[in-house]
Amino acid sequence: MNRLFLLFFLLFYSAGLYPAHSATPRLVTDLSEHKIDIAYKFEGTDVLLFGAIEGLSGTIKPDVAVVVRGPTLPIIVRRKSRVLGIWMNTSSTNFRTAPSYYALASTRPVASMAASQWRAVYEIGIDYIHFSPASGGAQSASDIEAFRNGFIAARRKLGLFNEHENSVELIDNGLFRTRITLPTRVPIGDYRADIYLFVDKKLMARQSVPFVVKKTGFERSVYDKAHQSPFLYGIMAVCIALGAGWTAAWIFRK
Amino acid sequence: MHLYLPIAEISVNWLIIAGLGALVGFLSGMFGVGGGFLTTPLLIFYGIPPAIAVASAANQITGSSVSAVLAHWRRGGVDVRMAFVMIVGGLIGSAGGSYIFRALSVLGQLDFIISLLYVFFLGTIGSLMLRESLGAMQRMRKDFTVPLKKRTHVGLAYRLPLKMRFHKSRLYISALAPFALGLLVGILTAIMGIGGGFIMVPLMIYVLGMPSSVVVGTSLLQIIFTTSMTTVLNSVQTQSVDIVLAVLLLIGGVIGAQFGAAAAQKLRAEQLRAMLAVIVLGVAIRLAIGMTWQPDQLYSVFTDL
Repeated sequence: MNRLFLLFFLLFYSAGLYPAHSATPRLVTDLSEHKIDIAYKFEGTDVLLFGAIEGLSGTIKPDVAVVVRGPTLPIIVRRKSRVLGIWMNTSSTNFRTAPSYYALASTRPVASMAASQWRAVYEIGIDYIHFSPASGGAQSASDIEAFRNGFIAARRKLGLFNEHENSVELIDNGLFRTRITLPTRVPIGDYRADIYLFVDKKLMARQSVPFVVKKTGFERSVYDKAHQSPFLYGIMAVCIALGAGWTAAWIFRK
Repeated sequence: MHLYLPIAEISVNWLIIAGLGALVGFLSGMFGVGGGFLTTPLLIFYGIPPAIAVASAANQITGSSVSAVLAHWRRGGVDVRMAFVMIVGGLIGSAGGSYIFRALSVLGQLDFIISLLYVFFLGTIGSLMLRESLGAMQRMRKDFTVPLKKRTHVGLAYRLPLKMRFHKSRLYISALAPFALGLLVGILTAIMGIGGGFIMVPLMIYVLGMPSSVVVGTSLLQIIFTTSMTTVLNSVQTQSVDIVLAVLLLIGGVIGAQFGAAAAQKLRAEQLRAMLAVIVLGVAIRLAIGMTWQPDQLYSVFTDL
C-alpha cells in the first residue's frame, strides 16, 4: 500500500515539476543481464542497456544520459612523496563514502545537454560525484581536492571510472541503446543504472535499473570461505599445499 | 589462458604464473633454496597486490618444502630436536610478524617495508655469496687448496643458559640460540612471504655450528611449520591467501624443481652459488631502483580496514 502511495505521489510530484509539457515523457529501459557472474574465465564484460522514450512528440530532440554506480565504500587515499630519494606514502585522507564504480554514457557531451543543477543533484559526470567529508591528513580545501582528483585518476586507470560521451545511440522512434564496460577489477555488489532523459537541458524523466555483480561457482565458494570462515580456509590452504607437496614427492620418486 | 583469482580479484595469465613457479622451482631444485625470496617480488612485478603475493607465496612454500624435506628425511638429514626448538620460536615469530604485517598495512607502509626488507636482505646475502663464490672459483683456477676453517669460535650459542644436547647435530648448545633464529625467521616469513632458508642456512652453520649435512633438512622442517602457521594467521587477519594462486605456483614449482635438480649435477657448486648470487643481486637492484623511480601515480586507493 505504502509503495503504491509513493508511486502516485511521485507521479503527481514530477508532473507538477514540469508544467511546460503537458504529456510527461516516460522511460522504459532494461539491461541485457541483471546478474553479472564472475567465474574463472572472467576478464571483464559489457552490459547492453536498451530502452525507449515514450510520450514525447516527434519534433522534440531528446538527450539521454546513463549513469552506472557500483557499491559505495569507505576508502583511504594515500599520497606518495619523495623521502631521501625514495618514494613512499607520506599522507592520507579518508573518504567515508566513495563509489567503487562509476560510468557515464550520454548522447552528446553532458555539459551541452543538461543544466548544471541537474548534473549536481544526480551526480551526472565524474566531476559531480559527491564525496562525503574527508577526514585525516588533508587540511585545506585544495588538498582535499588534490586527493579527490588522485582517487579519480587511480580509478580511471583501472577502468572503474569512465565517461563516454556520445556513446548512447539514439535510433528512430525514441529507441536508444548503449554499452557499459565492466573491467576485470570490477568490485562485487549491488549496482544501479540510472537513465536520465533531458529536453532543452531540463530533466524530463528518469528511471533506475538495478543489477548485481557477483562471483559464482568455485570462485564464489573460495571467496566466501575465505571471508566467512577464515580459520578453516587457512587450514584448508595448508592441507592443500601439504597434499600437493606429498603427491609430487611420491610421483617423482617412482 | 586467463584465469580469475578469487582472492586477488584480478585476472591473470595462468601460464605466466605457472611458468614463474617453474622458474623459481628450477632455481630451487638447482640451488637447494626455497625460492620464496624470488616468488614474492616476481609476483609483485607482475601486478599481484603485495599483501596477497606475500601470503600466497608463504602457502606455496609449505607445499614445495614437503617434497624437499622427505628427500632429506630418508637420508637422515633432519635434526628433529633442533627443528622442534626452532619451530617453537618460528610459531611465536610468525604470530608477531603477522601482527606487524597488519599494522603496517593499516599505516599504509606495507609495500614500502616489504621492498626495503627485500633490498636489504637480498642485497646483503647476494653480495656475500658472490664474493665468496668468486673467491672459491679463483682459488680453483690457481689450483691450490685452502684448508677449511675449523669451527673454533666459542660463540653466543655456547655461553647462553638452558643448554640442550642435539645428538644429530653433535652439539651441546643453549636452546635459546635456535629459538631466537626461529623467531627471527618466523617474523620474516609473515612479512616477506619467504621460507627464510637463505637466511637460516648460513646462520645455522656459522652461528649454531651445525654440520652442513643436517642444516638444509632441519631448516626445511622448520619452514613447513612456520609457513603453515603464517598461512592460517594471514588468512584470519587479512584474508589475503589466494589458494588458486598458490596451487598454480606449486604445480609449476614441482615440475621446475625436478629439472633444476638434474641441471645442478652438471655444474660445479661454486659456479652455482655465483649464478644464484647474481640472480639475487639482480632482484635486489631492480627493487632498489624501483623505489627511487617516480611512480606514474602518486595517489593510491585502499579500502578502509
